[in-house]
Amino acid sequence: MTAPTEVSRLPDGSPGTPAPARRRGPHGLLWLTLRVHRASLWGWAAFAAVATGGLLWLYDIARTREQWDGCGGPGRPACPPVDEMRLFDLLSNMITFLPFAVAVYAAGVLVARDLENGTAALARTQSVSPARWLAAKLAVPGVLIMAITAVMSLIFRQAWSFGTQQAFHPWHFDAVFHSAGVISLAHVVLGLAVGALAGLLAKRTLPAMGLAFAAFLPVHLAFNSLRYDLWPRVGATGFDAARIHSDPVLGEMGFVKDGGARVQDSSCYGVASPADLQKCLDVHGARDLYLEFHPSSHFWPIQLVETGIVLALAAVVLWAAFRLLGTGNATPTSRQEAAA
Amino acid sequence: MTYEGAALEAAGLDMKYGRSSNHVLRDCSFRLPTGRICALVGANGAGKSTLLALASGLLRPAEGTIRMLGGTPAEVRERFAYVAQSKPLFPQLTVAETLRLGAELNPRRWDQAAAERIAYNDGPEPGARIRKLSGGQRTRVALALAFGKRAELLLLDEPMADLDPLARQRLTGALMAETVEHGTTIVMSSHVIAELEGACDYLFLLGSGRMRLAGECDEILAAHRRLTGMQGEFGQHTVIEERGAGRGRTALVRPNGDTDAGSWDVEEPSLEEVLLAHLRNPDAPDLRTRSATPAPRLEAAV
Amino acid sequence: MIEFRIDRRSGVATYLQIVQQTKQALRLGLLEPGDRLPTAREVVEATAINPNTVLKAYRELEREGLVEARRGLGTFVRKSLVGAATGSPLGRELTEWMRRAHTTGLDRESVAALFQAALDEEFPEGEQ
Repeated sequence: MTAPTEVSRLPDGSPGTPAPARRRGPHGLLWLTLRVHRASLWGWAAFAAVATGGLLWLYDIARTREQWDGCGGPGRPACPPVDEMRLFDLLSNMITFLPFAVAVYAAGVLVARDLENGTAALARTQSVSPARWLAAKLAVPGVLIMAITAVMSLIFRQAWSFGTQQAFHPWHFDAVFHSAGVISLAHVVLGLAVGALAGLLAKRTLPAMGLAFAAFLPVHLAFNSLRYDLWPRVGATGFDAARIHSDPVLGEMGFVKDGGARVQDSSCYGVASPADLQKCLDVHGARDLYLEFHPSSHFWPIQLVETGIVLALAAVVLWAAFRLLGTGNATPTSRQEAAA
Repeated sequence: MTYEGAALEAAGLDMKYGRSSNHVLRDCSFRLPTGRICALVGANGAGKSTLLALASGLLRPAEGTIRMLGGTPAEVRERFAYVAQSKPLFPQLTVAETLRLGAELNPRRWDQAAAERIAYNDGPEPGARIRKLSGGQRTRVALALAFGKRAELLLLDEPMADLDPLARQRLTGALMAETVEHGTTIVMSSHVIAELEGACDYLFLLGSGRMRLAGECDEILAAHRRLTGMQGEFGQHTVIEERGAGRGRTALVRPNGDTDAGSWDVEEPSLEEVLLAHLRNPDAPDLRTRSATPAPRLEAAV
Repeated sequence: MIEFRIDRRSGVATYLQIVQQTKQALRLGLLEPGDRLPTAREVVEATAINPNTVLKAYRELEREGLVEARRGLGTFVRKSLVGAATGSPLGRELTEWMRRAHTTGLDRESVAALFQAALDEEFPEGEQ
């Protein structure tokens, strides 16, 4: 006789009952990433709102600068409530250091926290491959943060372009170079990559955040010092050099001595006429001035070269992070449990 | 769609942590046929969690191979489910959102009804946040995710650890009920042997880094006898454990030949007795039934 | 519907407990031909035992002709055991024997021991 059929234990191919009727909106891993990081994503949105507000204010102040000459005096309109220079510095520094915040965020909130409490393993056991998990984690907040950065850079650049050399800092000022171009976007991408790798290496939230910051800092500083070597400089001599009198950060400036030797020295660069220059040179026993510098027309070439290098570096770091994932290394939680 | 070979098969697994020379697993080999409900038991630190993590692909073995449903854990990711001992869940999600997580990530194989049965049956409210749930409720939700996935193989690391006896019985019953129609293979690790005795029909005893007992519970029990009597020598039978009993001796043995030949009282031991005896006597020889032996080609691949 | 109680410590195999409890219910008239036995799913959910055990028990009952499986509907009782009531010929003979044993002077324990020995002889434990 056959066994009772209602207790058949052969695996069957019947489909299960599906989830409740499909809602509209994001699905799958996108839904999960948005839901899990809902709080921090709204935090970024709030930051974006405040920052954009501040930038629009700066823009407005800069645009209407002429109206404030002699402000505050009798019969004149009141001066703007905020010192525009302070606001400018605040906002430009904010954009400059945004990549640090992104790296720390990626390391701690996006990656390490999930590794630490085991939910990374949960995603894996719900059929999400580790690569898809990491990609979603970085891409979803990444797109939002990059959009924020792009908008901020755009508004900042507009505000800055109303400025003269005296009113706002020049183009080669670190904070301005970061904020008025496209490198901030590239640095944000690098921040995400460094954060991801730091999170995977440290596996615990606080150490990961520390590691991300410590790893990003030398990169930031290195680019600050090497930036102006990325593009060939322009040379100038004689009174042209004295007249240009560029910032030392852009390149060397000095004398050519009688024997042909070059000495770095910024004296004689403030002279008013070629005759004054000749007198000054005679005093210093020099034959001519020499100057290596970047004119403002080099802004975009340097921006693009730096962007390219930063993005390439980010690609390498991301590759390392995905490689690290593939080795199936243990999460700390399972190592603790395994000791049980 | 269904796999007729072994649910789980491993050969020569070796695993150690850090630089210590202590091997958590050493030359560990076993096989689990499909459709079984298997208890994975062993002392604390025996490596049960490590073994389950290896099986589910969260760890890579230092040596050896492990195969699941005919493939590597990464290949068959959709067909098995693993619940870690900490039952990881996202604390900020509600129960309903957690079940939705399962539905969203497993669109082709999700059984919402099965997941809800396990999650909500004397469990939490759909709107409750995970971080507010008790241990037993979290376990229900974690298991609901594993079951909704309609996996062919479930690896559960101490699933009943935080539950009171009533909850344990109910949840075990719920698990068994879900396997009835689908013939799901389950591996549960646990310390509490007595409860597993009714539910499990397959057994793995992990100790000293390897499988000391592996096979059908019935066969393992049939291979052991408790002999009690005045006759000192237990003769040709393999003694697992021997103790005094009044004026005579009693021993748990694996008979080699007829046990009626001597003048002792012969009893069939309980599973708990067999397990405890083996735990107390780490030098007892291993026992593996035929179905628990990995295929030769797998061993050769090591 | 009948509910099974499994005693893991009793030394009796789980599937046998189900078989015995079913038969007991049949004897007492708690189950009659046409009644449906609980599905494996229902038994397992209540007792947390292995589904195979239930399968095995129901197969055994089917082998003895006490139940039958109807495809898609369940497992149903087929035969009653209530016939072994005291009014039957066997029952009358037993009552007669008891009276004789009593008259011979045997006490309750001796009769019980006699009965148990004969029972074990004719129906060894663990077999049908």
